[in-house]
Amino acid sequence: MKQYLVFLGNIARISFQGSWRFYAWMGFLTLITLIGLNAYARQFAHGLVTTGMTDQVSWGAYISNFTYLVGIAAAAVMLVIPAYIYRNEPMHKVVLFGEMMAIAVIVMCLLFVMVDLGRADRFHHMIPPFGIFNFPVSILAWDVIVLNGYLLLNLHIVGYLMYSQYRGVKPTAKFYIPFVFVAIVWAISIHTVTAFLYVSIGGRPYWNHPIIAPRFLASAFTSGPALLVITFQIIRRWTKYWIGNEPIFTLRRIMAVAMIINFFLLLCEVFTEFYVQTYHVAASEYLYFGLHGHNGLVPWIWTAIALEFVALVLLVMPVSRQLKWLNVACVLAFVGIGVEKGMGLIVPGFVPTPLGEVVEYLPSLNEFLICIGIWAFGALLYSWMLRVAIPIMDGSLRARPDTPGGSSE
Amino acid sequence: MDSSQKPPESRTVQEAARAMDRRTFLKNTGLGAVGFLGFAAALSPLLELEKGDLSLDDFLQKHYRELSGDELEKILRELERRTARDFGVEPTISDARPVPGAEFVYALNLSRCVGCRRCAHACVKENNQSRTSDQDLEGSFIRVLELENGSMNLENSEHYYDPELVPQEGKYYMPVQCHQCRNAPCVKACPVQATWTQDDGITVVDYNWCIGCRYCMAACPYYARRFNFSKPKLEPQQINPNQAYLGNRIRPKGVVEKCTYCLQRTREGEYPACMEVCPTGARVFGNITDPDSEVAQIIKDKRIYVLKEEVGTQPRFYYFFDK
Amino acid sequence: MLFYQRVELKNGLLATALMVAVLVLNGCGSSDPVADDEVLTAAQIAEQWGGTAHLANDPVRPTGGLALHRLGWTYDCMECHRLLTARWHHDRPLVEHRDLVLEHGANRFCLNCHHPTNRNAFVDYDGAEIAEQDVVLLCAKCHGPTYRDWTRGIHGRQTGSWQTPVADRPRLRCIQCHDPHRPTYPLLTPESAPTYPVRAAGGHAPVAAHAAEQEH
Repeated sequence: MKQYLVFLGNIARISFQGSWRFYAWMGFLTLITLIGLNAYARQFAHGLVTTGMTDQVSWGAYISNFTYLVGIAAAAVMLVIPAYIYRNEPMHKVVLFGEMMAIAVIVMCLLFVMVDLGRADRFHHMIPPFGIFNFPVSILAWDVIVLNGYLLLNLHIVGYLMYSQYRGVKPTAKFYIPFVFVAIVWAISIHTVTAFLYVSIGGRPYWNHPIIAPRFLASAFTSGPALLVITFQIIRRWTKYWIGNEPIFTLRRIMAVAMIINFFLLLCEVFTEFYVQTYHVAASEYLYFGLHGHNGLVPWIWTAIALEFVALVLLVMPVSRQLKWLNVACVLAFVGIGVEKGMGLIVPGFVPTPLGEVVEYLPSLNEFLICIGIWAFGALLYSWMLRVAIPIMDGSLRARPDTPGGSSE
Repeated sequence: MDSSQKPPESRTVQEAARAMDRRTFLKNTGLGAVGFLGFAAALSPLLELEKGDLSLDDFLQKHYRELSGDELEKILRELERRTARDFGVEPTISDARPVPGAEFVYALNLSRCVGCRRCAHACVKENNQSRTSDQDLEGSFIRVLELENGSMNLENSEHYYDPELVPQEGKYYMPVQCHQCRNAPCVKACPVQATWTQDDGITVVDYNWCIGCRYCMAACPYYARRFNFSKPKLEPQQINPNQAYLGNRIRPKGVVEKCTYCLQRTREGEYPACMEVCPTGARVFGNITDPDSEVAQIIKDKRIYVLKEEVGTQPRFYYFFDK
Repeated sequence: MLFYQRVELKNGLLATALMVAVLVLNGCGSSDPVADDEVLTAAQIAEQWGGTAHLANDPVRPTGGLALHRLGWTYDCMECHRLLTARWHHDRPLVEHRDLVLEHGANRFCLNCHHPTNRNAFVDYDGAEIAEQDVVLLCAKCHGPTYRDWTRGIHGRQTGSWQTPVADRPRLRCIQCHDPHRPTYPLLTPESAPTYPVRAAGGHAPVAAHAAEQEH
């Protein structure tokens, strides 16, 4: 126990040690986070009137970001599966980075849900001893469970492996391997359940569509690894921890396949909507072409599709074996899918309303500040985890540096 | 967990502790202070919270269905006091419970509705909807749609029609409000059971339990739910003092609300406000369990149209035709 | 972005303290003194506001004849019509009642409804009299299904209580909504329309333009 407290103390200490670059980066993120917090305090005091949401479009940027980030969170599994199921050795070196990213991103997801609540002060109504949890009927209740469960699983796995490494002890398989395998299935479930949030809504034909969940998975398995590819290169550029090219190119293959599936499913969706021309096509029409003179999303969705398409071409071509082009593809895929999921999945579900009214949505400045605040906080959290984890992983922070990997406590 | 390819720069706990000298301590304290002040400054808009926006009693209050009679009584009186404090009118807030054995059903005659919007405005006034003027219809639980003769595609409906006189040639009108579904998607959606269907078929919201996630609004196929984006704005003379806890009492900020068939009236035997004012008699309301009631007769004899029947909501709201 | 929400640090510190204390402090909110003279009671507001002014349910049509009887008026149609007997043909224009325009579909003859010898009454199929207050029975001569619906409470406006059986409820009679000489329901001025939400992006196309678009 005492040793554990010393461990925490060490972590706290090294968290504040670093070069001026580290301070500048963390300071910058903290500043943005505080700006976001300030915007949230304003929203808390005045209500969601500070957002661009209306009765007609009752979910906006928060839920869009939440949805997108759930995808990123689950993408960590794309490292875990090669590492643990296919026993891909280079992947073992980086799998923890993916899991830490999952932690940071899930925390962001939970924050996005929190800021979306009209009554955040009643959050405890969802926690059973104090509240009433509408489980298993409400899909949102399921989502709360799977998201928090995924967070706990990853916290456990990362925490356990880190602490073992720190003590120089070989991790005991039974304390983490089962959790790793549960986490693999669980990662798929967070996507599926989040997609079911929308699919389960019978009154909104744009969402009530079986392709939503698989397409959501496919696009997440592109955007998540895209972020990881960039992150790995940042880590090996700016820290002492060396990551080889193998994991990066494994991720490239995953992204290419996922992107192909993503486009195939997009084709299925677009064909079903537009060929038959039922009146359920209205939402898609609004998204892709505009409806009754309202076309706020049209430029966004076509930009997103163009970005994704270029990313797809790059990924399947040999050219992306060069890191330079792979990075371009990753950025395009990450941004493209972000825009597509962010603006193209949530908002058209509300346009037109079930009664045919066309009301458009744009986030307000305050809403936007809250969003970037949460993104900054996520980056802050992930940077901090890297700051702590890398010295542990490269062995520079040990309980007993003179007995590497030998103790049997 | 391989160690890295570069030689590790070992550091023991002791070394790490030594590094924490006085200068670092001061630096960290300074950082902490700046951080704390920044944090406090960021939170400063909370000072704009109004008195009573947050209270311990609210925080600890249980779900409506778990309240004992005494607890509820205390809450109702407290709400009356707060309404008096905040809005300048002391209302009577009742607990209007369902009438035993009754199940409310609404029927609306599409052949008779002329689209005058009297119902939508009566709704705003009866239900203490927040409004910026007497013309403000934003919060009304009723939307009257203008449709082209020969089509029932709601996606071509006009909500903002405003001619000199109604009905217009070649148009017909369809008021839509909460359908009090038997298989209510909103009730299923709510993660905290803040909305549920009571024995008389009315789906209510416990405004003191709702967390404001708005999943029910997304789930509703009838656009029947509204959200309190800010604290309601009401002048004293705009307030209907006859209020009910689950009905038309002035709602708090940040919660969802909906049509309750005016339960503060209907559970006292009266008609809903929208029916009371309907000049054409297009609206018919009653107890479906009574076979002689008008609504039972309508369902037996008339041509019925159920809006969005394909969604499987099984509404307690029917449209019917004369001709 | 902090610059536009510039707040003194003192306030900031207070805010933090507030975060901790606000729940507890406001819990005591109930004991706040309320100045009685500023607060209107339910009874006062009901008086000022009319209480049910928003529920006005007067019939759309003030009905002369029936109201006269109810007021104890003794006006007797036969004072004139004793001399001016029924005209069976439209051979010349009306001299009296020129304000009446008969637009009742195929029913374009006075004595289809009015009794030929007793103008204080209406006429039944067999020439029998229908008393003025039983005007519903007169309309029922032609509008059978509507009459059936009316008796069941399906046609026409309902007032009173849903708990009262239909038969025992005060009922509006046909002519309280329909002008018997021109029974098409009158056009009404619609009350104000909802507007495109202020906080939403974009705006609504003017109704006229929208309607024009639909016509094409």
